[in-house]
Amino acid sequence: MNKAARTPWYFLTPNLVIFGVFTFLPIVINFYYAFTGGVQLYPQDRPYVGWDNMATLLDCKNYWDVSTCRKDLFWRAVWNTAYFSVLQVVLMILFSLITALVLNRKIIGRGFWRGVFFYPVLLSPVVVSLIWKWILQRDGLLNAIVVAIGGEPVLWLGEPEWAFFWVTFVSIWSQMGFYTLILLSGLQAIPADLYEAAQMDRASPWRTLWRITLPLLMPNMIVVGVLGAIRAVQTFDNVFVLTGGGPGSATMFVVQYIYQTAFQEQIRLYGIAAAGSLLLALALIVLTLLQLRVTKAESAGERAK
Amino acid sequence: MASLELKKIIKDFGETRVIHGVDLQVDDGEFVVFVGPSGCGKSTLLRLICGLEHASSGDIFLEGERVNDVRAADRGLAMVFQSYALYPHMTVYQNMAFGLENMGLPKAAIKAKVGEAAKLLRLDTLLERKPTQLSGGQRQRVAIGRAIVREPKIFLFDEPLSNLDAELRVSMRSEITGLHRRLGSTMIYVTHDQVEAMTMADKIVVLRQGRIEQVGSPLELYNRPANRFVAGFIGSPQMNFLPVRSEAGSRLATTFGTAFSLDIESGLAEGKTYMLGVRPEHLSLEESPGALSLALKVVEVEQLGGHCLIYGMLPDGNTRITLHCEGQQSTQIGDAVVVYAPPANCHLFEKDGEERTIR
Amino acid sequence: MKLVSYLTATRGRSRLHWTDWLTYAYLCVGLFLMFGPVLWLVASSFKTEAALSEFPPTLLPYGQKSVMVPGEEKPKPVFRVKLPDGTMKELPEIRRIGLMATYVDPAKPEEPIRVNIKDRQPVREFRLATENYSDLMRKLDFGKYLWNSVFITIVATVITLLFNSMAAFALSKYQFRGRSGVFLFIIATLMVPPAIVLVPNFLVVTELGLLNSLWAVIWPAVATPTGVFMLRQYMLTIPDELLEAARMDHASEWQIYWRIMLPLSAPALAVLAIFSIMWRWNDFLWPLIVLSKAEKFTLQLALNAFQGDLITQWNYLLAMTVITLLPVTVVFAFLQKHITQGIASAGVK
Repeated sequence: MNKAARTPWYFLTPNLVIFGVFTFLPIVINFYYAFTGGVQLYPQDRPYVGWDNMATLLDCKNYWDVSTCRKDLFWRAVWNTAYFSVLQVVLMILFSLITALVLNRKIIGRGFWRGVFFYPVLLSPVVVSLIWKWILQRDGLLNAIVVAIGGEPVLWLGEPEWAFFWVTFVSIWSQMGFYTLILLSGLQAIPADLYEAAQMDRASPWRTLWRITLPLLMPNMIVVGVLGAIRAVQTFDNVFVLTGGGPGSATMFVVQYIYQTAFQEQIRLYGIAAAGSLLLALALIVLTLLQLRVTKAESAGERAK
Repeated sequence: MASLELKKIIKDFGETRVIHGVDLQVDDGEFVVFVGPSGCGKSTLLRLICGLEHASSGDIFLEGERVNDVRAADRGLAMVFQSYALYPHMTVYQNMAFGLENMGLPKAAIKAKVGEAAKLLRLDTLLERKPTQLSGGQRQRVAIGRAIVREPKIFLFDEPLSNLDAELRVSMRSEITGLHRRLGSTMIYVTHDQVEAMTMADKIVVLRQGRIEQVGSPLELYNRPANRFVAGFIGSPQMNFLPVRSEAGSRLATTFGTAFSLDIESGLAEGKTYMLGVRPEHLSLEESPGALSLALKVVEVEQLGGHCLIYGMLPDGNTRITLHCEGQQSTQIGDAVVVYAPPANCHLFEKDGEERTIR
Repeated sequence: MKLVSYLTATRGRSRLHWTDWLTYAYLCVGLFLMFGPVLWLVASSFKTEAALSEFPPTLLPYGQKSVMVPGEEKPKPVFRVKLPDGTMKELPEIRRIGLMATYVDPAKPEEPIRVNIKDRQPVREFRLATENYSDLMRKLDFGKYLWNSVFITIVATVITLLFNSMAAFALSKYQFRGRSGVFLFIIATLMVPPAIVLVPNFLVVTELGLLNSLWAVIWPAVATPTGVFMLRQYMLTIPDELLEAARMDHASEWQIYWRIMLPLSAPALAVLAIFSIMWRWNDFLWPLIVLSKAEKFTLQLALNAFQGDLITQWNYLLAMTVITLLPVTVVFAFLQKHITQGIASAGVK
């Protein structure tokens, strides 16, 4: 290669080396871990076990009943994650959409209000969880309000259903602003003359919303849905600090399961953890492909029109 | 010695050939203008000379030295870009000094050179400004200044005036030619505007589709265009063309009946179709002996005060003829007029692929 | 009157429609819900330990009033005392033995009054318990954690900007074989969530001897695909003629990058810098895995370790949380517009 042809590679090298060492290489090693057993960290000390790790994780008599599974905690985490992701993404889209529609109206100080909803996005998951833990604790602000209006104090994070609710609530609270922003920029990209035309066509505001705004916003909503789902499936820090996965395993999610299996137990089962992350990766790949599929269908639909 | 010499230059971009074997010689101190319609390869040729593109084959010689493999920066040329390419984050001074700094010149020398160039271009009061704070003409002068400080063997200009408004373009034109006279250096200038080419050049190179059509001084090109393309490209308004048929005794007949004779040394084959070309300014409303008469129906009149342009349709119904006449005329749209083309000012072109000039 | 008409005026109509009222109601609920918890945290962080354990909590931080008494070294707490003659008076308490406490009237210091502690109420006033913050600095290794967080954030951000802009420069301004391959490779890593390579990355970091070193957090984080992508898109808009002019000006390729591309990419670099600061400052899972020694903890880890203790000292924890969210808040307050626009245009986080 002559000198001119080498130049771009000089500029690329630092980035590519880091990518290779900390992203590409680990992906390869992850497969190795997933197919070897034992508790040793170093690859040369690990015996080959083939699909055993995977089989252990997937060993269930009845997939709908986690207590029949060999790794019941893993399946509890899987179901929790699935339930959480669906609930969180649906509610997130709903609230982001309402907020974006409100912010898109002619309001005084739009920049300020946009900032208000966006602010929690910047806070670290740990900080967010601590803020809410402080409010939700037994002698916290929320119970004070409940008592003030004549109710009985509740252990918000001590009862499984409530804990699950608050985990979902807090994660929506902390991320909603980001998705609102995506939807808002989508709304602002809709040409104003379409609304003027709708007005001339005597469309009611309600009809305008259903027949013009929402269909045109669909691509952005799909982006929000998929991005939200990809993140929801990987939820960890928020929940870990807020509930630690408890009470019991009511809020235990897949990433926390991987983390605990590999780093928190006395016996560190790296193989099981790696197999678990491969399954998680599989779920993410499916989600990503789904996104590509949907966006493709969407653009094909656009052309067909 | 020739300042620049191109030998059989070919340039391909992937599958497409944009320069088809160009040979050219530029003498020391000449002001050469590359002119042609957009896409003719004139800018590519300039970029090949300056080293920003590499020729697919052929040789480039600067002052007798082959420079095909010499980096752009080391060829000792300076380029003024169409968009000026001023570094937006640097002041006027820094813009002009950047290249000298890179060459490792001492600070004092840089300061002297930049000061000198700034004075020459009347930029001395603007040295601390950023490009965004300058007017179009001032930016243009900074771009030229950046070239001047490097004392290049050849100045290259890539359509430098195309971003300016008409009035400024005229004054910058004379500013650049004035600069050429003062510096006496070789300049190569690319434009699509034939007026710029005519007014500025010592030598014009007319390009079309990657080939040189003609090289010559402005008046040579005007008086003796090599082919119909050059004839049509040089001169404004464009030369009029009408098909004629040759008859016996080197007489030529138009498709609608009138005829006249042209004095042609080699003579003409009988019964062949040719293209006759007459410039609008050579047509006249007054009869002259031996002239070809053309009956026109006036379709448009442009009164410009000092002169006027009359557009008329020939009896065949699809050939438009432009007539340039001095002063003001009372001709109206719809009038029938007869115009005369004196044989001395008529050009005759082959009616084939190349359309070479016969006369 | 004028103010009311200004506030009720919208751009389109002269009077507020009922939907406008609904809009503002929604926004105000949003304001309360989004900022309320943070304000409550800040207010709580200024309460004393005793005030924090009160239920129901007071809205604002209160502390017991205290005054200086002549002849005593320290300020003495003030109580509302029922005097033997039945009148109520606010007096500083000098000492207390068993059920009896001794008070003194500053007007008549020579006459101490002894009262049963049943007959007194502490006098409270608005007071910020700033000792929560000052104690943090002294008692805990807070300075250490803060330094670790700041070090990681700044160093990682600088390296991120450098490496990513170099790669983006190569990918946007050079034609070379393998360019689209490299670009696809980098974009594909956007799809690999860090959670998935936790175990092998732990091995890599261990092998490199980086465990329990701040560099274990920095190095894996600096080659962000988001950054490369964002900067590349921006650099594509910088005209090639500028680079050609620089090449004619004898600039080396490094000089073109350093003196032309970097300054001209400043807006995109600023957005990436803000992102990077936020990412690194808020990082949690990865530092949790590779930094296990307390002296290497970042603020986030310290917060987590602290709240996991058996007896949570909320007064310190809250103060620490406030300090942790402070930089992000300040950055946001000043750069709100850039951040929101940057995120809207990049569409990724």
